[in-house]
Amino acid sequence: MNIEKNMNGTKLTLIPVGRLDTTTSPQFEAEIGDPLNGISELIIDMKKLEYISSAGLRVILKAQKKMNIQGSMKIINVCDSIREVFDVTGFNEIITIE
Amino acid sequence: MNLNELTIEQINTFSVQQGATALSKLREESYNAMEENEALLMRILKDNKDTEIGKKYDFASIESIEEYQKRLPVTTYDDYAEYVLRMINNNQSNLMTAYDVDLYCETNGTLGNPKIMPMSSNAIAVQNTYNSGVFNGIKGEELDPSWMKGRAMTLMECKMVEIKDGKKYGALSSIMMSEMKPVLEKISSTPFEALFPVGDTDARYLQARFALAASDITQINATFLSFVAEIMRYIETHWQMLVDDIEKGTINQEIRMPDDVRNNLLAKISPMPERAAELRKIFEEEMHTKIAVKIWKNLKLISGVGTGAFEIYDNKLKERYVDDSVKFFYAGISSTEAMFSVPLGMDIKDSALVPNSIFYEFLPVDANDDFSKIVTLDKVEVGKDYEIIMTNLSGLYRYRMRDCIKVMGMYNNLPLIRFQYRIDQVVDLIDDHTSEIALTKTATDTAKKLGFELVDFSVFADREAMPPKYIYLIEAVNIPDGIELGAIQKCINENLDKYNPELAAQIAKEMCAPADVHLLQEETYMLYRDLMVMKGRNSAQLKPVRIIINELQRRFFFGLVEKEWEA
Repeated sequence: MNIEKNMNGTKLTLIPVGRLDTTTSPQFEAEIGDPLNGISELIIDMKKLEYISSAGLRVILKAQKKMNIQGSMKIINVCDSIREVFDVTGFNEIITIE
Repeated sequence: MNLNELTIEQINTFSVQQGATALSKLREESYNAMEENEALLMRILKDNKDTEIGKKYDFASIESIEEYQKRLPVTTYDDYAEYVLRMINNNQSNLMTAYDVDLYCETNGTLGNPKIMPMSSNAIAVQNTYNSGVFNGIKGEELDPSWMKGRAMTLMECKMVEIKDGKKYGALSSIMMSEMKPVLEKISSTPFEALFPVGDTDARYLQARFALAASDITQINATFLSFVAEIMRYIETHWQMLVDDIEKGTINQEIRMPDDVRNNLLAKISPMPERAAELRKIFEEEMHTKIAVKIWKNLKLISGVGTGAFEIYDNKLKERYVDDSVKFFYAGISSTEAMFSVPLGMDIKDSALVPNSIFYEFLPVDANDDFSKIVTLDKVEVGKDYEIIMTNLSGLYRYRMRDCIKVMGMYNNLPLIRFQYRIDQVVDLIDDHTSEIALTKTATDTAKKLGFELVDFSVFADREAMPPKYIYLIEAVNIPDGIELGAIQKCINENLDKYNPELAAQIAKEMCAPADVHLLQEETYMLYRDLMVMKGRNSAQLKPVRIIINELQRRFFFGLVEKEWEA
């Protein structure tokens, strides 16, 4: 999986490309581990994400948990099918989705 | 006695001695079970005669069980909610109970609304004596004494908060673990940082990493056996990272935890290349061959709730991870409200009532809430299903538990019981009374027959379909090539017919349709668990969602169906 990154001071934007599933989620998880240290604002831009599975959602949850402690997180540019997944799983109650 | 100066063997020996006393006491009480239980009720009434409830029902004048049953109605949580709020918010006492209450526990509200229960110091003392005590006593009687030289992997995360005026709030297991704190780090491989996690600490990694590093593990203790199955799966999946960390004396940077927690832990560990090499060899050469007993050669015992909805994890552990050399201690029936029963031996799923824990009454499940059919423990019939109505040491009187138990036999004059199902967890499409047990056996038998590994499952009763039908949502891994969804569905329906002939009859009459099956995406149940914890639920209280009972659960699980299997 390709993950594009834009860093601006303590603001980090991650742009995952393709599918975030059982196969690719470990790679995305690596990006929200140590590299998030010192980040106060995390934006996950989903404009290039086509699909997210339960495994991918777990990684998003981990990122939110980490950012709850050190700053803020939001998800932007979500396509309709992924927005529906956020909606039915109740993610939209605990994560800022624009 | 300075606990810090004791060796692990001395601590375990002391626990076994204390446990032997508790075990012996319970065995003694078993001869006069009814007399002991009646004496307990009279003691509770006398001690609580001046409480608000005691005055309302004039406890002081009650002299017999019959009078008690006539005077007090059967109750539910709604009868106590206001008292509990006054106790917590206004610091009022002597409302429900005269005993000291500094602790409040959350129950696992089946409908997603946890209840808050007071827990008196008297109730905690009884739990300690009989629950932990009997467990330790049985370990002393039935395990090879070499277990006492080793540590335990403890799979519990304790979360407790101070709510007001020094009162604490948390899960019962957290409270009991806190009481063991002085010796816990000595007898357990799990570090405090994982037992009492703060911030976003990844407790699962720490439980696994520290246990793998410890070659002396002799027991694995968890609240539920699902936690043991889950940690073994985590170890299988992440063994390379875990072993690397053990080899280098590190904690992988990708593992989440606050910096101070990481620094504390790093100060406790050092490189262990020999243990790492030993583990690497096991994982590379002996994976899928009862690996737990290879990793921990002295493993003697696994304990936790393993009946009812947790039987599938019991089976999974035995099939996949351990051999006959490991004994199982199935925790008896215990809840936040009280301790109901304890097993009197290893590998026994029936457990004995504890006549000094609660005053027991039994309502036959087939009595359709006819309370005149309620009996005391001396009058229960072996083989019959009952709902327990309890009077406890924390201010609940004739309280309905909504758990169905079956009386399996007698130990002297003490009934032996086994949990069957939550009464609210029996589903009906059309009067078919399909129990959680039937649904579980259907799923586990299907997985066994078709050769896949059942991670977990839930069932939704679709009453709006025409005709109505059950829908199984299954998370499975390692599904053999060639098995299609239709084959799984066929097998599920054959097993449902077998385990609930009433449903089969309804289907034959076309009153119900055969069950549908959907496969869920991998990690769906772990996601559900993570999500609930994120929303504030205590992980120690989370139970499997066997029957989908609300719209939130329905949307969640149906939203995560693996579409590739649907085509």
